[in-house]
Amino acid sequence: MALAAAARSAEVGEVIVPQASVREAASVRDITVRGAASLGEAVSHLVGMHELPAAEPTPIPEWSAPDGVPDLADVIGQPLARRALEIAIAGRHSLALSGPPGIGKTLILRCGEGLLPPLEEGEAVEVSRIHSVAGLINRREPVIRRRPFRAPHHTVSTQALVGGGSRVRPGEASLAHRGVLMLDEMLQFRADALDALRQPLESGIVTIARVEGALTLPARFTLLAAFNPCPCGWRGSHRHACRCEDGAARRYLARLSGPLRDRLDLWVAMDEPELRDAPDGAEPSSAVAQRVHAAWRRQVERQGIGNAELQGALADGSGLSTRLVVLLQQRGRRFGLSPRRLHRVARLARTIADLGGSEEIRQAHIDEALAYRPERAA
Amino acid sequence: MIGVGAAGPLGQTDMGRGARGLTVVRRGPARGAAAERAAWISLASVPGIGPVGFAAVVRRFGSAAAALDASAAEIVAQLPRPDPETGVAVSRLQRGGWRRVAKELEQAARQAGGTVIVATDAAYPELLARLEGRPPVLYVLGRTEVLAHPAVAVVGTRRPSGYGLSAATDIADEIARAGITVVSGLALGIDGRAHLAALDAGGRTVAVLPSPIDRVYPPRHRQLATRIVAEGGALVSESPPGRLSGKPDFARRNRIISGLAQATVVVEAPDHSGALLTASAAIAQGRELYAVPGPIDSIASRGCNRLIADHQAELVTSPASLLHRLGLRAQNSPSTHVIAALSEAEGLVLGALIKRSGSIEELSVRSHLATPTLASALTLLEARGLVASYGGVTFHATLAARRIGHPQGSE
Repeated sequence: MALAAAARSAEVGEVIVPQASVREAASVRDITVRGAASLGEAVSHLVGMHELPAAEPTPIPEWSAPDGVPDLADVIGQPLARRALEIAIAGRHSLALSGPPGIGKTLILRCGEGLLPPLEEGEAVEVSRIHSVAGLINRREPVIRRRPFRAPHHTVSTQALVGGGSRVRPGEASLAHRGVLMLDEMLQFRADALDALRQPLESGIVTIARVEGALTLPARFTLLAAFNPCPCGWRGSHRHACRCEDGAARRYLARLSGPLRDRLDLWVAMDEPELRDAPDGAEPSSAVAQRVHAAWRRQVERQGIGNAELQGALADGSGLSTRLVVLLQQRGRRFGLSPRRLHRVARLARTIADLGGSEEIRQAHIDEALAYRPERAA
Repeated sequence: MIGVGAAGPLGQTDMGRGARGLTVVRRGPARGAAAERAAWISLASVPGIGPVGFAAVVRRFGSAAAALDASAAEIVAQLPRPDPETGVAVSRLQRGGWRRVAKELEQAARQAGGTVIVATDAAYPELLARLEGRPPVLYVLGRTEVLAHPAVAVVGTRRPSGYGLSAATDIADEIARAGITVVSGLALGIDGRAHLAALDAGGRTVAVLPSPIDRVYPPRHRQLATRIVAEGGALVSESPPGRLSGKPDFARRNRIISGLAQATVVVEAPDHSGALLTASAAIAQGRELYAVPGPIDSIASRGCNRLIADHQAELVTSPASLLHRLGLRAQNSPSTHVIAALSEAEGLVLGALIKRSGSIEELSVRSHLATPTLASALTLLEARGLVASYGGVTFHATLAARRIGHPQGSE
């Protein structure tokens, strides 16, 4: 498979592989794959004596939730948080859910694992390498196909989170490369650990300083985070009064430092779900995953990277018309948003358009993207 | 007991101004009015001498200047809670020369950009002057004239719900648009929101501080305080500026809030809230008291609901009805063109919110709109000032939206 992928990158139109590897190689698209049982068969094909049949492209496996991953159909209510998760996974944007305890923040984030599109071929190689260094590779299945979903506990050390140690070991941030890093109770993590995440969030790498020089590891992950808005958890809730002293609540939220807050793309403030007399017939993960995977394909085909990784999202050719750039700037002034935030909003709008199957970004996409601005939630 | 002292009404003493009159009657020792004013400023600055004690002292000695010539022990004996420390402070004041102290205090006020108003001054607010426990001296930053305008107090908890913030915004907005000054205590939560809404409506607002005017409390509202002064309002405090004062005095502050206003509205208050002290001050002062009702399962509204249940406060059914009760009328209603260009979905969302505030979840159940459509409609409505959200959980139609009304709102 890796070979076929490399051949395609080199703009080779056709490859011949051993018969046993046809299925695997044919999972690479946009290249003709032929299987040969022997070298002789390959030669006779090449000299035009006996044509080898082109293999049917191997179908991409049907979507199936990995074992033990919860399904969005089991989440009660919380439409905005569900939608934000869909956008986050589709465009690789970072997401924070805040709200009182016990309302399903963790459950929703865990559902994210079931929405992840399969790894692209090149990505699979990168991810497998990192896991191989960490000694986390199954010998019978040397290539990792699923996007990683890492959820370290909040007591994790900084070294375990971003990597390091006398014998360098990739941290959770690198193990989550091309996948998800989930931080439940994010404000309970050590301050220096959260601080250390700023570099990978911004540039997709971690640099580990060592005696013999600095070592760089890839760490481009989607951050999914959840936390209570204050120590008692009820601040901002419609029905409950918060019992925290003002100072305590403020200090608590201040643990989410400005730079880290700036790097969050989506923020949803959640409250208890409404009591209802019937199940709400919420969409199952399989339906949401279909939209997410299609939106991901659009990104791969258009630009080869996730929308969250785009630079200069407000620039020409990004699908954003001049009229909408002006609108976005107006909204920014109205809501007091920084230029940096507006770029993030534009990238989110790009993903929302992709989820809707639209090449053009529309006003509704921008306005929806603005609904997840952290400045509204906190 | 707030505002009711053992002593009789201060308004009838020598130097006092009658409830209506502005005449300063001079009797007793032949001293200038300026000297007596200085005596008031210095005597009132002694920690431990509150409005009630001050009144008792002036009544006993005939004037503040005469009192300051008496012994510290005699002065302290007049106080409702005689305290040896107060005696020490009075002797210190007498040794240092109370005229000099008064001059220093006035200078400190000027340095802070403020003014000193003594209860005998013409600028002293009329409504406050009528009270038995009126503060003898006020320090004011901003326009002192604004204190003479009709005012309504809007107060509430420091830890409000989204509902409380929304109600505070609407009520303060409506009051300010009617040309009435909004008085509050600059505290976090409801108070701050009431000041802000009054300013945003282009109105005037007065903040009564529990701290000196040059040490704005809470510090997080410093910017708000600056804006209040810059936009034609005022900061008021009983504590002299330029002093390292002790704890902020909330009880005394609350009494001035209700005292400056013809009516007090408690927007949201849990049991034991400081806002309930303002409410009892309003009752003791014989002023009108209103309370905004809350859901029966909301801890944040328990105090308000109790005030209504016990017939201590009148129930506020809407900001407009409150104005009506006060005999006022809102002005400069916004034009209707803002909602002309709404899409069907946006109109539906606004209509639903005009009927009742709600979360995105409730809205999706009520409007049957898909979440992305709802989310974008809410952003657009927020951008146009028709919808507001505090903390992003619950959304409210703003007063502007409700004034205009909407065809979809009546279905």
